Order: sequence, then C-alpha cells, then structure tokens
Amino acid sequence: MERIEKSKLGMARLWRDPYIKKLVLLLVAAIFVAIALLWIYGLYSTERLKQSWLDKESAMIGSIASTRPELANEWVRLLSDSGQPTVQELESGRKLLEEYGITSELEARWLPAIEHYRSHTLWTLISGTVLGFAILAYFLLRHARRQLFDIRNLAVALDDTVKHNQPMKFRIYGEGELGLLANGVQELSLRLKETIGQLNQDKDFMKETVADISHQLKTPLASLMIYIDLLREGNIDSQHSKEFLDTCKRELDRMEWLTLTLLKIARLEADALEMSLKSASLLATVTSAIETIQRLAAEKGITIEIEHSDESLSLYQDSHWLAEAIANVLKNAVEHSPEKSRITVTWERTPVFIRLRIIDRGFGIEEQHLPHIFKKFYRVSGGGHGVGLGLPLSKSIVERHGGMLTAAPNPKGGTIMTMTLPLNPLPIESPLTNL
Amino acid sequence: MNVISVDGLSKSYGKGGTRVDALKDVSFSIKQGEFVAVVGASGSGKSTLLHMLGGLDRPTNGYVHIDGEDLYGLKEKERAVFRRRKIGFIFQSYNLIPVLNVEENIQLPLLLDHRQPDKVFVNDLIHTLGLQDRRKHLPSELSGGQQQRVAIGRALAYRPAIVLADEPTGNLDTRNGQEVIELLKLAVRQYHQTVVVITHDMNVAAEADRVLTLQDGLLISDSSSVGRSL
Repeated sequence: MERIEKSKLGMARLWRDPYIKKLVLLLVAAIFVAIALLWIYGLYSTERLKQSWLDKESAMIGSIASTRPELANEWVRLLSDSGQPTVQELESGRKLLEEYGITSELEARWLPAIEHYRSHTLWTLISGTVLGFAILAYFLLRHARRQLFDIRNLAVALDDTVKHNQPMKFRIYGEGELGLLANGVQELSLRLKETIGQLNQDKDFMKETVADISHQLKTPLASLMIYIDLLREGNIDSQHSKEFLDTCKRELDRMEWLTLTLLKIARLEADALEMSLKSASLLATVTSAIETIQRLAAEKGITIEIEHSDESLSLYQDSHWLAEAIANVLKNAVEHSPEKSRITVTWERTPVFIRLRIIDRGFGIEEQHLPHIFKKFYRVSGGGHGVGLGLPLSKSIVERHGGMLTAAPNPKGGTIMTMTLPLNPLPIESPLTNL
Repeated sequence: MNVISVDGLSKSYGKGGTRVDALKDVSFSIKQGEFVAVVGASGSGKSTLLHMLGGLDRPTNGYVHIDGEDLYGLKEKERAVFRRRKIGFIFQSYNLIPVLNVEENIQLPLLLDHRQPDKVFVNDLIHTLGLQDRRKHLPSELSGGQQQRVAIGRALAYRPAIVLADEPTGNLDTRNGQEVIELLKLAVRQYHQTVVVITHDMNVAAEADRVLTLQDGLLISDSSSVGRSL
C-alpha cells in the first residue's frame, strides 16, 4: 500500500487545508490593507507638499507684487502654465540659480519645505512598516497558536486515552491535514478500546469454556469412578460387569467427543486455528459430510438426499472444516427427525452468496428455542441425546468462512438450517484507507 | 459500549395550530454491533428518527450521542465531516451518483474527504458485493439489487461506526432484499458496525437483534427479536 506520494501533497491539496486557506486570506488582506494605507498616505503627503510649496510661492508673489506688480503678473501666468519647460528656459534658470548657490546638490535642509517632506515621509514610512509587521506578526502568531492549541489538546486527550482507556475527550472534526490526523487518532483510540474489549471478552470466554468443560466432565467422571470401584471390588456377576463396562465405554466415548469438540470450538473462537481457504467443489464437501453421518441416518432409516441445480459449483472453503460443519447440522437434523423420514440438502447461488439449506421434516424447533440453539450446551428439553455442542461448532466454522448459520421453521414441519456463505468473504481487518 | 444514545428526542414541524409532533420524547440506546430494526406505520416518525440519528435534521429537543459525541453540539461544518466519516447511509432509492461508475460511487465518501482509497480493500469489497463485472458500469445500467449493493459498498467504504438504512429493501424483490439484509448482517459482524434499519417488512425486522416500534412519534416497544436471529 502506498501511503504518501509527493504529488499528493501538491498545491491543490495544500489549498484545501483550512489552516493554509486562512493563512493565505490573512496575507492577501494584509497586502490590501498595506496598499490602501500607502495610497492614502501618498495622497496626504502630496497634498501637504503642494500646500507648503504653494505657501512659499504665495509668499514670493506677495513680496514681488508689493514692489513690481508687472513681474508678479508674469509670475502667476508662468505658475499656472502646465506646459513643459523648454531646454533653454531650464538652462538659463539653472545658471541664474547657480550664481546664488542653489543647485540640485544643495542639501534639502536649506529648502525647508523639502526637508519637512523628507523627514515626515521617512519617519511615517518606517514606523508604519514596523507597526504593520507587528500587527501581521500578531495575527500570524494567533493563527498558529490556534492550531498548536488544537494539537496540544489532542496530545493531552490522547495521553488520557492511553492511560485510562477512555474515549478521547477532545475531538476535531475538520477538513485538512490536522482533521485527518485527528480522525486517525480518534479511530485509533476507538480501536484500542475495541481491542481491549475483545480481549476481555476472550478472557471471559476462556473462563466460561473451562467452567463448561469441568462441569460437563465431572458428572461422567464421577459415575466412571463408581463403576470402576464396583468392578474392582469384584462382587459382581459377569452379566452386570459387562453392563457396567458397556456404560463405562459409552461414557468415555461421550467424554472423548465432548473434549474434542470443545477444544475445536475453543480454538475456532479464539482464532487459534488457521482455515486454509481454497476454491473447491461444494458437492464434494456435502458428499463427504453425508458419508460421516450415513451410519447414524441408516439406523433410523432416514434418507439424506442432495438437490442442486449446479453440480460444478465451487466455493472458497476449507473443505475439511466445512464438511464438519455440515455434518454437525445433519447430525442434529437426524436426531430430530422421525424414523424413515427424508432430509434434503440443497443449495442455490446468488450473485453474492451460496445459500446451503438443510431441510428436515422432523419435530421442528419451538419458536422460543430458535434464538438459543447455537449457544453452547443449549438443549431443547426432551429432544435428542446430544450435549448441545454440534450446532455451536458448525456456527463457529461457518463464521470463519465469513458466513452465517441461521435456523427457521419449515412451513411443512421440521426445521430449515441455512448456511449463507459469501462467494468472496468481506475483506478481513483491512487497512482503512490510504491518507 | 453504547454507540448511539438518544435522549428525550422530540421533533415538531410547524407552529401553533398546524404543529405536527413527529417525534415525542424518544429515548433509547444501541450497543456496538447491534442490528436494530425500527418499525412502525408510515407517519409514525421512523424517517424523522433516522434523520435525527444521521445528523440530517436538527431536533426540536433532546440529544443524540454517537460514539460519545453530542451530534447537535457540533457546528454545522463539523457535523458534515462527522457524518461523512462516522455514518454510512443506505436509502430506499439507492441515491447513487448517476454520472459516476460503480467503483467511483463506492469510493465517493473517501474522495469527498480527499483520501486515497485503498485499492486492495475496495477491490475485495467489490468482489464480495458480486460487482466485479460491473465496476465500470453506471448506476443506470444496473438492476435494483446491484444498485443497492453499490450503496452498501459506499456505506462500508469508510467503515463507519454506524450504518443507517431507510427502507433498504423497499424497492427490491424478496430475493434481492434478503441478500441486502444478509450483507448488512455480515458487515455488522465483520466490522463491528452497528446497523439501524427502518422497515415495514416484518421479514426484515425478524432478522434483527432488536426491534423498536414507533407509533405516532412515540416509542411503544423495544424488544429482542424472537425469530431467525443467530
């Protein structure tokens, strides 16, 4: 899985980040404010310069007019003439001024209006720029602080979560990189909680299983002890001792089956057992399941028939285990069917699933028992002589195939057990997504 | 662990004489991994309830907490992100984007979040949904059952904590409807998700772990389904 590619951190992605977006907006706003302020200041200082220049001119005209009015008229005409001065005019003017020592090299402070303009502009621009940068820096820091604040809160919340296994107290639901990071952290904390929950559940399950096993084994063990003690005392006639031995054998068989099945379920449910899923023929699996149950069915004169539309149908399966699951359901059906009845195994393929049905025409299961029949050691009172482990084992196996096992009453009497097996199981614990 | 908890939820539309109370003080909570059906006659407030759970409409009173987050305490924008990441929706009318193909529709929630979909996961998901031959088809080229499977894929792509389905089998025949429900049930188990299905189909309700019944905006019963559940 590729995680991060440089191209994916391109400008477009950068722009989607709300933090970057705000930053850019802030900078653009700052530029506009700066332009506006400079514009206003430019107009203002030009106005001031014009004013002081006009003042100077007015004073000159005033003083000339008082002595030589005709010259003053000429001066005013030249002043309001907006045409460009000619080269000769400039040349002769400069020469005249030079004689008085007024050249462009003259320091501005000898010309009060210029000097005033210069110092004013200089100080205003410098202090304005400093102030502007200070304000901008303040906003940038505030902007950065908000994000740092979020990160800090996230870190504190994460720390709490890790230490106390609580849900995150501080959460962020947002776009952008921080939003994704927060989402990842939040998911992580939820997963952690889930995993711890699962571990506790496993522990409880282990306890339960041990209790189940000891409970189920104690009774037959006790009776075995008694029978063996009686046999050892040797005061029993051969007729009775044979009976006792038969009972012992039966109890031992039962104990063997019980332990083996419980171990299988425990290993399946604790995920300690690897299924090797391969594409294989469903018909072959069903046939091998029927074979193991054939003798039991024959004793009751029950026929097991296969009804299918697609002989070549193959399924992603561990055929050994799936056959065991089917066999256990069949065994249950045989035990709950009257003598000389029929059990049908049928399947259909949908676009997504294979639905395998095992239909018996037996006594059926009462509605109130249906939700419980897949629980360990649950026995529908009176019926059968199983210990209530076959169906739970089947359910575990089917679930390991990514499927479901359900039971429903058969409208014509009896029960329909349905195994819903996905053609392609849902992806197991998958990485969520790539960032 | 309660994934959803609803507290004194009420919703009314209109004012004064024309006021309609769609939901009246409804409270319940749903544990992680539960498959819950909400049943009731039309106008009983089922859809309103689903909208409230999904953060699509603001309640008049009361709270909805999802994964411990007060849904209506979030800002509008945050709620939109929350919804996208935490809640998957499945609708009666599929609501697929007509101009996007199957694959794109499934990846849509990820693309909206500007995330790179995990190709392996999406590919596996498409196989599970039986859509491997249809991945480049547009919704209009698919049957109803296929379209609803695409919608399920879309709801699962982000692996949201909860999936809300509004009459998901309403436009489907029994066969396709059953398949949709079975897929949802498998997802619940595989991804520890929580599913809330609104339905008037009692067969669908019978598949649920729990059935909530609404009548005239009131929660009148909350029962474990006795039926074909595991």
